[in-house]
Amino acid sequence: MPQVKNPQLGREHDYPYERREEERDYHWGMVINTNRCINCNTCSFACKSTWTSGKGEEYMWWMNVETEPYGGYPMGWDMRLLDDLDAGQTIFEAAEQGEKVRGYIADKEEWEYPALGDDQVHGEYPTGEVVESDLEEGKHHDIWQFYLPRLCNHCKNPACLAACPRQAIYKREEDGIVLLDQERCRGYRRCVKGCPYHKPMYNPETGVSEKPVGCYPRIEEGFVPRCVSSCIGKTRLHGNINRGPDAESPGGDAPGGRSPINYLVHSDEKVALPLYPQFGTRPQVFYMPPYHVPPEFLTQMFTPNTEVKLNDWPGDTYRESIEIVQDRVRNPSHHVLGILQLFGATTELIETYEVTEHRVKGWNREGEKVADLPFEEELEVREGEQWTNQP
Amino acid sequence: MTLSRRDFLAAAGAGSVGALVGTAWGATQAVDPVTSVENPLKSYPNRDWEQVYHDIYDYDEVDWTVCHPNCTQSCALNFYMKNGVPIRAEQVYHNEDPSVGPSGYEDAGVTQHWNPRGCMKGLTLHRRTFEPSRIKYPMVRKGWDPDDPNPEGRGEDEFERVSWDEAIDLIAEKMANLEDEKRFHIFNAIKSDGLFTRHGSGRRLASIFGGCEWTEYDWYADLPPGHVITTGYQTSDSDASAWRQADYTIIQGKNLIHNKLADNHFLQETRERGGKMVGVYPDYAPTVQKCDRWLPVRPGSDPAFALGIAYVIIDEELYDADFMRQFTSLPLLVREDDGKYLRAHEVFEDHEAPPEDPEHQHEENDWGDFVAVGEDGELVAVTREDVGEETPTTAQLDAERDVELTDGSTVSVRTDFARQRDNVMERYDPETVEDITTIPADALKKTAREFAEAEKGQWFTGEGINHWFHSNDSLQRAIFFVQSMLGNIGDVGQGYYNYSGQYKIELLDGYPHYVNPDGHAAHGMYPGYAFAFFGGEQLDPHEVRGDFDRELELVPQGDAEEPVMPTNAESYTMSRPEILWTMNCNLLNQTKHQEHVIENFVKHPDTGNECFIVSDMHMTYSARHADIVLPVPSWLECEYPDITVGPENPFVHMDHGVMDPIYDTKQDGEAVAMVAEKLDEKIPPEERNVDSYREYFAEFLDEDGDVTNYIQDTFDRGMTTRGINVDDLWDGPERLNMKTYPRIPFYSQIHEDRPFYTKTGRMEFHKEEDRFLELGRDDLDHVESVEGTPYGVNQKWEDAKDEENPLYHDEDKQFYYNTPHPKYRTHSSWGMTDWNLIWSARDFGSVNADPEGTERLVDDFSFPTGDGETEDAPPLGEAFVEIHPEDAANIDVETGDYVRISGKRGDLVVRAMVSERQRPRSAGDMGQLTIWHGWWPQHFPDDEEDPDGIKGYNTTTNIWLDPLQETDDLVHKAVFGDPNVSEEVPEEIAWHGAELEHGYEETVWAPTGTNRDDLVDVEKYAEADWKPADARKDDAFQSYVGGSLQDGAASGGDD
Repeated sequence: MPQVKNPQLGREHDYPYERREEERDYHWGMVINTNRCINCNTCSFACKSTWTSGKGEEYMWWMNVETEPYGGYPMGWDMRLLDDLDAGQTIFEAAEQGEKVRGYIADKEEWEYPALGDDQVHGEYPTGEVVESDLEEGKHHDIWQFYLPRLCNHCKNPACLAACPRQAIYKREEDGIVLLDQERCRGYRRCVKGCPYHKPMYNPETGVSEKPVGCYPRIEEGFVPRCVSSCIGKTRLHGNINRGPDAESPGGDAPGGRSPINYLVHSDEKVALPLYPQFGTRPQVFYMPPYHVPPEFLTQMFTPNTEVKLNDWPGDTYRESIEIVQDRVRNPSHHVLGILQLFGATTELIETYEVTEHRVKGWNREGEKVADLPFEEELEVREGEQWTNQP
Repeated sequence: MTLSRRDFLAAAGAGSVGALVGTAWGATQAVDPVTSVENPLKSYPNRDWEQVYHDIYDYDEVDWTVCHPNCTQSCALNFYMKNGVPIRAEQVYHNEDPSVGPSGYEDAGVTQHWNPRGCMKGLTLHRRTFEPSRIKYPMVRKGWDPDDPNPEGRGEDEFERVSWDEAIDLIAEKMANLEDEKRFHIFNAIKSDGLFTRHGSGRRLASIFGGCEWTEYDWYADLPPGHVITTGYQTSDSDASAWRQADYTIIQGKNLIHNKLADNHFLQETRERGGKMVGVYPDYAPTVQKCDRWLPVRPGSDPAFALGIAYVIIDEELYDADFMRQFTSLPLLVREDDGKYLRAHEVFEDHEAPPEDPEHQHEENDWGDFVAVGEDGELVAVTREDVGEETPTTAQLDAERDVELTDGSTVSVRTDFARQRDNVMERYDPETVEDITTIPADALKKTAREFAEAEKGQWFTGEGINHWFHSNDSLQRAIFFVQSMLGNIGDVGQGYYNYSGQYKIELLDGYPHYVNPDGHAAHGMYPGYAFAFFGGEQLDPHEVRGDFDRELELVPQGDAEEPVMPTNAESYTMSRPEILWTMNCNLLNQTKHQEHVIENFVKHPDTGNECFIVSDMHMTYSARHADIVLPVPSWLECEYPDITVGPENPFVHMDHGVMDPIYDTKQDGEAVAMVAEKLDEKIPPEERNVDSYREYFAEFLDEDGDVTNYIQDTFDRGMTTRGINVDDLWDGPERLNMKTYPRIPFYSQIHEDRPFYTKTGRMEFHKEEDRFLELGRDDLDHVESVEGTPYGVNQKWEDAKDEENPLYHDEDKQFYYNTPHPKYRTHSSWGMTDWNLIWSARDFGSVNADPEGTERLVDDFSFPTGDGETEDAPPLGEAFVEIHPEDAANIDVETGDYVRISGKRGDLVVRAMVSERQRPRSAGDMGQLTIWHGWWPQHFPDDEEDPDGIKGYNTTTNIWLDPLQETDDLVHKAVFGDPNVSEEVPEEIAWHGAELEHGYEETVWAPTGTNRDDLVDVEKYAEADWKPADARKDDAFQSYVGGSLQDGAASGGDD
């Protein structure tokens, strides 16, 4: 079986197909700041109303927000796979005889409760005590919850694609979006079984599986996906994850260099991490982890979770990586704070950006300026005796 | 047939497979040639199929409107239309394609920081529009007759379809035959949207007809009276964009991340900018997740927390003495003998006295001048206008002495600060506060010091606390005390906010021009009294007002015809409704003490309420109890545009429909106009209040009528809207003209030395009004609850702590009942919208609910239409109560089991969800039971012991009326107009010349029904018939939550 390089794990591993020789210039990617997420599920409703409101799709939530640690759609999806995987083993390496990918088919019942555990919390009631999070002192909430928006990761090593016996799932050349050919699929449900994030779903009405489409009709027009543009928490930024520091200007007055999400994910100031990179699929949705949550849980969820650290993330161990990133997210640099202002500023895809002392700007893929805002709006005071704030 | 859950699932699965085999598209696909695909990671041969999702995404046109339920936010949304039907909604952004409509918020002159606005509820407005609970045509209850209303049949009788003309005629006829016009009552819940062409038109009708208008805001405990007591202003809230600039936030009992969704990010962003956030909640409310520190508090003890903070600030002298001198009553002298502020004329010979009678004082806006002690120790007169820099002296905050009065007598006086300080230092040291609140003293001290040190500190409280008898005034006064000691008032990023209720009608300050035309104004009527005292049977006033000293002649008994009011509350309008017309309000579902209200106000043969009209989109619990039901269009279907404003954003929006109505509906304004037209036919000119009722609604009725004329005329009469052209609002929202953007309450008070809206012109802490003195609540204190406490009820701590509440100790009612605002609904709105219901029901929400529940729910979810027809809605979810695992284990209850919750006023049966975020009884004596509010009766199971009983979440709640708030003496600003500048504004402005007011005023000053201050018990009712899996019981879960689920992993083994 071919080997693929997986920088998220800092090593190579099996994958059924050869990778392209060079990375695309453009690849769909997303950053989500979990600390801003308020679990309103507007993203989920936006996605569902756009894509899955048809027959046989009633149970489908391509986008959903889970409350960790009790939420899960399908129920217990990550627990079950983690339990099956030893540390240092991707789902490709752990595949059973005759299979390409280690996975499982969730029962119908496990799909039925999208809001299971919504807003629930884990821990002991702090009778006679307080609950405190203080990163400088290494303290986190000992009774905790956090909100985890979940969607298709448009992986660079997609498990659904690897698992499909009909080669009906492919990665688009121009943007890396992973699609399931609705005409070619025969409903074998290997993708449903193989995707560790459980985002391909089977439609019992049509007998065909479906998977999230990365909002490609919007991407093709230069707009961000619905789950991003609908996010009232301003938790998300979508863009070109592959645009690195050496890339040229997209045109016009736009500066060259990194895309804003590339900075958050791949710069020396990394603040966003993939969800369960140990599965080995190279997911392209990256999370700014919750800083009030104990790092041991987050190490399991957002790092390769091996004892020896192999990748280029900060710190000597993965737990240290988590703690460093938590701190960066709690106390962002001016530059990161600037990029955070671009979250939810525009429905247009921001290709490049500029952060100055007081302003932040973003340009689209055509090099047109689409975001231009101050760090803070100035207080406006109306002159004249007759004006009041208590009319 | 009884199926087990698993059988059902298996059967459903088999059915689906069967359906699949039979589909034609399965068959055609099988013969397609298969193109070989070499490496789908690199390329794919045939991508024509991708058109499938382009077609799904495709739309014919985009139109926009505004979602504006009673969440107080108002959000502009684009609706994407296909074949004239909205298929999805998206938020609008600054002047962006693919929006063809509004300019977004760019034309409102704000930055892209405000993008995007509009939550998941707006995104299912189209689904709500098409759901089966819609009312499709006007209906009349079969058992109702104008002359024989037969109220016992309400909620049970079938309905009969009638034409609009018949329905309107019945209403007008009943109105025309009223002996007393005041007995025509209009109730609209929301005070700052639907202002012109919806329920606002009902108020206009009530005004010209001479009827009453009800208000929900104060009765429902949304009004925070502590704000009015301290500042004279209804609620001091800022625009959300100001939140972000705080350095320190204390958020107490407000679940802001659920109930202010659209602009919530501004608060979350404070932490990115170095801000710190401390939460004070009895439970791990979802907002706690965002807090750096959580201080768990005993419910009902909140005022003591704020007083404990005040203790530390005083004790460690962390306060801003200049600010206190300039803007508060703290340097003013108070007489020790009668508790009144010392007046200047009492000590200075040459100083003119105010009128003696308080009523005359109010009339002349002259309450006398006040006295402080100057730097040099001499007494100094201080007028209402002598505030801020104009304060005549650097007054001593701490003074206590005897002064000689002009009549030669001597009286002891102390400064207000000395009074509050002495009381706080004696009673609220952090250790005592720990006893009261269970908040550790160390943590309180640390929080107080950090908060005092922060440059900008803001403090939020919410409606939850408003619903506690004493917290709603005492806590708020104490927080203002802290904030004014720290100078945290009047600037961006600092203040004290409540954000409860859609009350900011003042922001549309020309509005009286529309609702009170030509000087006609509806009487403001207070529902708490209607429910408590105007039903078939009235309640014991002591049970309603708390067990205040029965000897104190505060609460005279009355009879069912006469209002039961304390003395000195003459400004309270009391009128027994004969016609009650509710618009935009699910009154009977949301009312507290529901059993009493239904049995006595609604269904009792002696109720005076003879004609109950409900206008609604949906067949709600209230509509089911109506005599006449009028269907209204959804926001997507409406014919006439309307206006909304909100308390936490600076925008004025105008909504308008995007599609044709699907049923025989009429917007409230049109229905009201039709009634007005009929009134002209039925009431002879000499008996009318106005020449013609119709003429006030002509724009609705005339061929060439244009209702936007009403809007523009009103805009022209308001400072906030003058210069806004209503035509511009078709293209998107505009920004209101306020003193500052973001709006900062009291900016002029602090920066331009304008008086607060109190007698002293300052934030007042000591209150001299007789009612405050009589009840012993003239100074800042914590008083134990009237019911929700294990300790002595309605007493200060030193007396309460050694006593026992018999309800708790003898009758074992040891839980309090928490009904916070839900996020997937707004109150009861969206209660039946499929996706919202699935998510609201949490662990019990599913498109495939259990088979037995399904049968029950299908029965219950059917909505009566005319002549006994029903329409079924899918079973998607049901109500549940959250209970701590420890308390659940005590009564042998697991997730999914049914429990019975019972209190003094009623009981209910509901599913239980075991939940670690609840406060256990062991933590603070009272356990917590949480039900998200707004469930419909259909969401509750039958109670086999009481099959005909009332189902709902409000059966155990109460309507408490605080006699402190039943007084005409309190001085305050009216809803509309700032008396400080009312002479400066042009004469055409509706509030030109406005002066300070006193006594009852809708949405400003009235007794708040402190509805949730009550104790209940919980017991097991039945085992679960089905339940979803409980992760807590999974062996792997413990490893998962500790990060050690993977063998040999990095994170495992740490603990």
